[in-house]
Amino acid sequence: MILARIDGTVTATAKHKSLENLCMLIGQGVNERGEDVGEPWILLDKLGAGLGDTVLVTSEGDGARKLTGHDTIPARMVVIGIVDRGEERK
Amino acid sequence: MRFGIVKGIVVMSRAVPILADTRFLVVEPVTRENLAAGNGKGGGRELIVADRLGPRVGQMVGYVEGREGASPWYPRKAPVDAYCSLIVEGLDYRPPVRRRKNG
Repeated sequence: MILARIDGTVTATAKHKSLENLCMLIGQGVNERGEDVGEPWILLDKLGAGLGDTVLVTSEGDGARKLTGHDTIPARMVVIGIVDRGEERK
Repeated sequence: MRFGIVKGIVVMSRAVPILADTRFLVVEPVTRENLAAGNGKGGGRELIVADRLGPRVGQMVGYVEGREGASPWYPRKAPVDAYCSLIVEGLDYRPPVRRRKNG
């Protein structure tokens, strides 16, 4: 799983049928200090995450299959939680 | 899924039967900088992506890599590890202005 910040939304002219009725967000991976890591992802969301939210994302395809009930879904990055606050102890 | 720009089409003279109705795209992944610039450029390392949606060269798509690339053929098993999941219509992309750490 990774942490990501929601930086926007995506709309599509055409998409796989399993993606119908799902919110598609632009997520930027971040580290524990909130710094950007890597390139943006297209995330699937059913929790209602919004711009600027930090979210917990699973990269395991089973998450997308269970979220949608579609075994044929060509996606694997799914929002599974909206972060309230993070705390790192050393 | 990642963002990519369709750079071309791969045409094959033969393919395994399960891929008979599948197109193959040359896709260049889009970097954060190019996504923010909205310049239609990719900037990443090109890869080949299986497709059944039919985007044109120059269009932006969303593609998935890995095992989920073969999911559209489930329960059959296809030898595919990248698939075009959507054709982008529009973006509302508003990243904050801050320093970036590569990783």
